[in-house]
Amino acid sequence: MNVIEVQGLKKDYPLGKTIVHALRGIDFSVEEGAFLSIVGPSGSGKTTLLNIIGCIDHPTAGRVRIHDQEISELNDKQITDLRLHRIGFIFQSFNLIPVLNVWENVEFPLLLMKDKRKEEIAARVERLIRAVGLLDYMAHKPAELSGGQRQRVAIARALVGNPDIVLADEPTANLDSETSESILKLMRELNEAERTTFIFSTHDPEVLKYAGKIVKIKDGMIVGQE
Amino acid sequence: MGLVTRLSWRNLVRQKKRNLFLGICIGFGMMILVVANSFSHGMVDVLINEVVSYAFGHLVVDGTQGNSYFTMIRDKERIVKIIEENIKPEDLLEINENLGMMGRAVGNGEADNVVVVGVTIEEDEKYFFNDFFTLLDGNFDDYFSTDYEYPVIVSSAMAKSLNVKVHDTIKIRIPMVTGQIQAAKLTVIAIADASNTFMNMVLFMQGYRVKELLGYKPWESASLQVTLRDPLKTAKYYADILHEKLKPGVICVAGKIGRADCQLVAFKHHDQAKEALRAEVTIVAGDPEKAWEKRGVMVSKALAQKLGLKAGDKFNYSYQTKFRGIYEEEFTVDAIYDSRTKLGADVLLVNEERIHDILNTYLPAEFQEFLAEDDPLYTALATEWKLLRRSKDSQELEKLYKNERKNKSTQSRLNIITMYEGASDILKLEAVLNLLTMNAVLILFFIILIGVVNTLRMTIKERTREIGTIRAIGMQKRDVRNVFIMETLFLTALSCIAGVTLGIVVIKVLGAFTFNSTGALSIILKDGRLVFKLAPLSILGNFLLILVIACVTAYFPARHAANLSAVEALRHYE
Ligand SMILES: Nc1ncnc2c1ncn2[C@@H]1O[C@H](COP(=O)(O)OP(=O)(O)OP(=O)(O)O)[C@@H](O)[C@H]1O
Ligand SMILES: [Mg+2]
Repeated sequence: MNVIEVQGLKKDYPLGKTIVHALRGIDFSVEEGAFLSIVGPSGSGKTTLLNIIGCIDHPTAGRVRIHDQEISELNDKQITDLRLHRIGFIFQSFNLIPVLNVWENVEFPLLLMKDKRKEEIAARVERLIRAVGLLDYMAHKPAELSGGQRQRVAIARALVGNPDIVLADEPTANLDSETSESILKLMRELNEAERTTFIFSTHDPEVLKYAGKIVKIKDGMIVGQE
Repeated sequence: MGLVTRLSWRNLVRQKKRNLFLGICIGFGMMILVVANSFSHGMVDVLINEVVSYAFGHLVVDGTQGNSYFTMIRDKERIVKIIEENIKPEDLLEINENLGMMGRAVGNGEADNVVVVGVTIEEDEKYFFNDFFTLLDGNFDDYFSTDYEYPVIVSSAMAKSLNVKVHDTIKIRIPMVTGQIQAAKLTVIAIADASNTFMNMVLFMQGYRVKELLGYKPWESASLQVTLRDPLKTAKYYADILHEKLKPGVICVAGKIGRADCQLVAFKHHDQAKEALRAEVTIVAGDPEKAWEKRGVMVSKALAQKLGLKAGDKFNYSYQTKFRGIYEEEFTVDAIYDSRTKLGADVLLVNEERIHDILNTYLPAEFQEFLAEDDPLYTALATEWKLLRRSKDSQELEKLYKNERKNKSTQSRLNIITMYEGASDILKLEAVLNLLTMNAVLILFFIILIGVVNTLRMTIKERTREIGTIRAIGMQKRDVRNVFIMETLFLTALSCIAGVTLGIVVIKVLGAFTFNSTGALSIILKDGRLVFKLAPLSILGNFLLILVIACVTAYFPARHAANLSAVEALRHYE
């Protein structure tokens, strides 16, 4: 079954008097439980594509379906809810909330869901913090963590709400190669353990070792799939 | 703690300098507000309690007569009873005679104008002295002493001005109710200052002594000052009730001519009233001209027949007075009349101007009920006194008295005044003072407006990526907006609380200083100190208003933040 289906996706950015065609017609689908990597050179449109799939950006043309739900039919409140419940984000620069400690950062999406009981939240948060190996750092603020640790927190946060898809835009770009490797390993493990679909972008060939499926894009178009 | 609350609180205590700065500004504004507010309340309090209520009373039943500057209530007992019956005991603190008159005093070679004021104090109320005065010399016990004819308490300023010490005598010349000038010797028994310099020219003396000095009879009274527990709330209410209950009845005094019983009734010395009466009363003998005149006397046909009286005859009319036994007055029959109304009975009908003075001086033991208020004759007949209509403010009151003094009638007048009318000019100050507080609120308003908008704008710019993150994760716009509003609310509330606390400290400090002022400003000082009075409700009201202002001000930038596009926000780099 496909979690995501993308058809004829186009994205134009007006830039002064000209128009940048960031995506020029993308068709692809992602199966449930996939560990998909989007590769391409800088400026090829990876971020743009992930943002649109992640429902934080709108395409200029084309359709995105998540779990057979056509995104363009939803209003902002519904889309926000969809992001909360179905999508997890991992950002290149971690984007943790600086005033919250590790536990609170991970807990954040669950609190937003409003329908979770306290014990349920605590159990889930603890499980994920354990899974990313940060049990000893629960009370630390992001500023007190290393880059790799921060990204682990971000991974825990992305997964805590039990989303269908986790989107990671160059999750390892700000990390050294050793840490990158451990992060990718962790993502892969979680992908297998939780059966969560992972889509991550990268331009680092090293990273590709871990990928399941690979989609190559260039100049806003898919140039190959493996 | 909810997520929104937690986030806004944590963001606030990130302790950005500008938050602190804005907080200090708001707190400082709030402090000014508290000080200004308390000052104006304290000032109004002093004015009402120390000045206005002494000068005007909370509620005054004022009796006047002719163009005398003295106040006079002829039957104290009766009016006091009406007051006591109509003001709930829990609201009524006391009823005092407003005894006071300005006179010229001569001490040891020095003279000054003084006001002699009667303050009735029982021997078991001596504590009053220490509450009210600061004793500098002498002994308050002598206030009750019968060794002196007129023992008085004198302020230090007045003692200096008259060059007198304790036990010295002050010669005084002071007008009396009767119109004569009283010359008396007062003995200084104590030199003591009242809390307010307003009292400096006052010589205090036991009430009954002042009454005697000024020539009031024991049963008479100067205007009655009613002290209420909560004058701000009840003064007007009770004034209206008393005004209703003090409506006078038609004069009707049961008396005798020889052995025959008769009723003395008076008609108004007023063309319209006489016109109305002529329709009901037919002169059958005598001189109609004379009968309707100022000193006109008429006898009903029935009474004339019974007594064998003819026009021009003299007769003696007597009645039982309340305090002075039987009073007898000689009348001459100007005319004999016939009437089918109640006036046709055994009635002696006279012009009011003929008998007001008599009835005032020789109070009848009882006034009988002659006519109901709805009787057509009612408006033509004279009443026991004239009840003046209630005035709205000082100006109206002044005009009313001015007009009444021009009125040549000998009828006595009653007027019900609260401090609001009596001192409405002084109380206007309250409005001015409230403006002061309003100014503080306005200043605060601008601090908040400018400060909050700018601070929030900077904060939002700084946290753009954070906003993008929480939006991407799935926080609704509304919650994002609330995070920022809440943060502003926290900041404002905390600053306000700090400001109030600081304000209270400032009040305590300022209130501790003593000023040696005797100028006009000293009237607002109590024991030489500025008076502050915290008005918690008013401050709470302002506090809530400020929170609302802050909330509204924060709303727009916060909404702007919430409406940021998540992608744009995430792409934002500083
Ligand atoms: N907001 C924007 N306004 C104008 N042009 C944009 C905007 N965002 C992206 N672009 C352009 O769209 C194209 C695709 O950008 P995108 O960020 O998706 O590339 P990318 O593959 O993620 O690159 P990188 O590997 O460097 O992150 C680029 O040419 C970029 O300049
Ligand atoms: Mg990119």
